[in-house]
Amino acid sequence: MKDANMKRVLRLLIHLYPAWWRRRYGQELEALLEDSGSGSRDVWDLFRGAMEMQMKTWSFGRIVIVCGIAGLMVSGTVSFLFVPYPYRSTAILKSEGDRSPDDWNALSRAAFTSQALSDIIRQEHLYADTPTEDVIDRMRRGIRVRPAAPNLVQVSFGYDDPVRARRVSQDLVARIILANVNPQLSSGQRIDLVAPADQARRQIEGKVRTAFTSLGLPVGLLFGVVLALILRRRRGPAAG
Amino acid sequence: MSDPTLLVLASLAEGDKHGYAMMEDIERFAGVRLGPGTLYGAITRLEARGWIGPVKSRDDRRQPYRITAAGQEHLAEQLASLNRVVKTGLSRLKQA
Repeated sequence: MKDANMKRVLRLLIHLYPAWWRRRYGQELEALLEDSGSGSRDVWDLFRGAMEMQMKTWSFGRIVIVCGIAGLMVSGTVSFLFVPYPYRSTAILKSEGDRSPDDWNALSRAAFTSQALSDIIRQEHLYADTPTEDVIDRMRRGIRVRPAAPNLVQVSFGYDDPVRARRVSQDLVARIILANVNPQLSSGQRIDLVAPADQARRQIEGKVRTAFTSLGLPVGLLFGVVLALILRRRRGPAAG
Repeated sequence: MSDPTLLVLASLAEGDKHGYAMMEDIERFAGVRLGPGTLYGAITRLEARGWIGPVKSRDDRRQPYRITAAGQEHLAEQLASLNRVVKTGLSRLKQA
């Protein structure tokens, strides 16, 4: 971020301080920001300082409630980032003969090249249509190829939207079947689709996401109680 | 020594300074850059405890501060305590 933009952000952060504090120190802090070189570290520093000053005048209940809401927001964001695939659709493929997990993996690698995944991303408008390396990696994390028996494999795809999860899952098994036709990879054993991609359901990821998100509220409230008790002990005469 | 309030007191022990001058001075003698939020958090606490106070200045936006007698006393106590820790630590290192 350019220095001028950074300073603008920092000046905006001053508004997070309580009114009594801004009346007394607001102009001085603004002058300090003008004089000093500012970095992204200062954003967090000012935010933390503003919260510290806000909490000096907040009641016990207000601190607890704000921490509870903050906990819910943080857990919601974290669970969305780390458990991003609540819907999963699964298809099952059957091989004419037995195959080792390594064979299935080799076939998956041949079928799910970066180019192939880019095509699917564009075609299905996944992840805002931008098939960068990060997005392709993200898609790979959503794909599961799990042998269910020596001659059976479950291919599934997890995504935010159940309809697209199903369509992509169907596309993925088609690509495995196609890769198996490649004479370099084919062991001469046919692969058939025995169970087409099922209707995507909220799988364990979805439940984990909900559970993790809802955990944020009680954890935040508990943190708020502890914080409020600490602040009550430390609260100085500056509260007025 | 990384307590911001102590660093601010140590800086003002040399003479009156406004926020930016304190920030520069602390960086010079302690090698620590206090962020603006941390610095003004410390100034708020110190002023509330009566350990520093504002000095009349023509520039309202660059308000200088002065350490008070109570502030000097507190700083002396804290530094004496730190000094004891440093001396003990150094002598034990020599013995080891």
